[in-house]
Amino acid sequence: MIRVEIRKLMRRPRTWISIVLLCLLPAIVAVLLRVTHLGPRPGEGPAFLSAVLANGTLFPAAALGIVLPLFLPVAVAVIAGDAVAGEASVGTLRYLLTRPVGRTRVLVAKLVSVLVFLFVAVSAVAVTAYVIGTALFGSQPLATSLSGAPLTTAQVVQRTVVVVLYIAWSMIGVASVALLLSTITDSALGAAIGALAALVLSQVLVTLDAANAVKPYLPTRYWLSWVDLFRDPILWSDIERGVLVQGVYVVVLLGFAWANFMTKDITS
Amino acid sequence: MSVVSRQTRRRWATVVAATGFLAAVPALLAARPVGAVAMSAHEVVAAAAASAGVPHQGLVQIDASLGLPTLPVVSDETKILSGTTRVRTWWSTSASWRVDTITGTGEEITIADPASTGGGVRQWSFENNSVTDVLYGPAVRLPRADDLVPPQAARRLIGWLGPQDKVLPLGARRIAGVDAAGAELVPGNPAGTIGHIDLWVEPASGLPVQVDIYSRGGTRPVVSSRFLDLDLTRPAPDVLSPSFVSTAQQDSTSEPDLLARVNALGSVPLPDHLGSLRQLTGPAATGLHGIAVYGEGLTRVFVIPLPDRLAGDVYDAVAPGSSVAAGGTRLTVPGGQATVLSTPLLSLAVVSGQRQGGHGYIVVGSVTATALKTAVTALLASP
Repeated sequence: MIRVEIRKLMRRPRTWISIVLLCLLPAIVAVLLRVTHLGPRPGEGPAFLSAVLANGTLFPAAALGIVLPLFLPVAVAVIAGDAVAGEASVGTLRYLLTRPVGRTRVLVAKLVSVLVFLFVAVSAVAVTAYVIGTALFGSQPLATSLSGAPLTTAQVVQRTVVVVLYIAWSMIGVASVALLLSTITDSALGAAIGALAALVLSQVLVTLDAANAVKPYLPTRYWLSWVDLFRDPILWSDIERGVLVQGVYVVVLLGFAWANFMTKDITS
Repeated sequence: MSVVSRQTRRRWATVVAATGFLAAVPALLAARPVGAVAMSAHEVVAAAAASAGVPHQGLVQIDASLGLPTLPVVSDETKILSGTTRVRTWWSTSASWRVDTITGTGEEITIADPASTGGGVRQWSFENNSVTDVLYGPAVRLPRADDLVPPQAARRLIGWLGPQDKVLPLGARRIAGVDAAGAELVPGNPAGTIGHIDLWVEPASGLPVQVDIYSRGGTRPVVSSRFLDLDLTRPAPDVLSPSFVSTAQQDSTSEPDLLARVNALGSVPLPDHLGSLRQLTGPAATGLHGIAVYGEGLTRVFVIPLPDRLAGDVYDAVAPGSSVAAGGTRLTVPGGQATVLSTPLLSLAVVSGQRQGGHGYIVVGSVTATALKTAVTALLASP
């Protein structure tokens, strides 16, 4: 079942178009930086973008910082929102559920396929950014951490791998919202927009002092904490909290998605 | 009831119960009763004052809402007094510590390095890709992040306590997982803007873990500094002496900010009294010539004469029509004029004197705007 869903996902042009667009955006930024040599001042703009002019090995981190706030959540919301609602809207959900598999397995298979998309998309951005970054800006044996300590290329690569895992995990919350809405509505677009609306609300509350009491529990609160992986020593506390908060959202939202999907009327 | 509907109900009940439990966990953790801490308020203050030798490391959040205007010569340095700042701190001894101010895309580090800086500090700035040695540790300067972490802030404020100021008991509170003992410091001078200072310490070591400063009549702290995470172990030596990339710009200075640059002006004769405020001398004063401190206890006024080259920038900032002047009160008295700004915790006057050979002053302190105007009038009237 899981293999079927993954194969279905990977055969869809929209999946690859999303991934290509996600990789293209940082590539455009890299080319513009290379041509103009006009990077943002250090401490301004996306994290590490100012540093890539001197060392291309940091461009994967900068690229992930570029796509994380908006483009990646949009792509994930579209794919996850389509998972169940897309099948319902074209009428294939009833045929899917007539097969001798439980609805729980169908939902798990949908979730796993979304997770695969997530990891493929985030990894693709990091890998293409590494290739483009080192090709356009070159690579230095030592990069500068936020704390000023030198980082070897091996350390940069290791930390970037952890960044990929963390960002992919952060997006699981988005995927869970979209998947829940996907089990409620028959409109894939509606599910995606609903998930993005929830994220915008979270982003607004994160910047609001009046929301201080709920801020630590907002799904987007710790998204940018991956930057802490490039400090020396690494600041793990926010990363750990980010992993935990996303985990809670996943459990709760997928719980509701499961409860709803198990009794979903698929004849209408 | 059908089997299907029973299953459906059970399924939804399970999900709702699990959600309710997870949602309640933070509230349940916060509602755990704070353990009894047997320390009197005076013991709390004494323990905090003697805590400089307590090794520790942790993450601190500083929330400040002083509402200071943007003055061109000190805008970068005063950022920490408005908004939220997160700080990592490692403390081994008074001569071996490190404080990192962390932002979303950068970091600034201050490291005690008395051996190579003559008692000063070494600073790293990611934004500037620079390592700067601040030589000789100026006795008076604008506050840095390391001044505002709870232990240093508490020890400094306790050092300012005067005989008129009161120390009152305050309930225990859980801070960074520690059941902390509290004390309330209340200034005795009615002209002061500080309402009270709430202080909590880790009972076993006496390490201050939270300091909240309230304005007079205020219900929320104007400055709050607290540990989010705290570990009472000695930090590793390599953390306290980090290496920096060789490509960083190397620099050194003995005048890191406006107040230190005032040193270059030399001494300007200042009166012994400003109204009812007496000039402090000896250890209670600043120890830096050129700057005078008036008042007593927690109620203090600093008079900072400005060199001409700095005064021009400040005059422009407070000129009629400027953003600073728009929020302030224009004060014209014999001998000069001033723009007086008041925030809940601080009052500040930018003074343009005429009699003292064109000197400018910044007069700032934890007194009401009325008291500050009296002080400015006395300053300009002095021979």
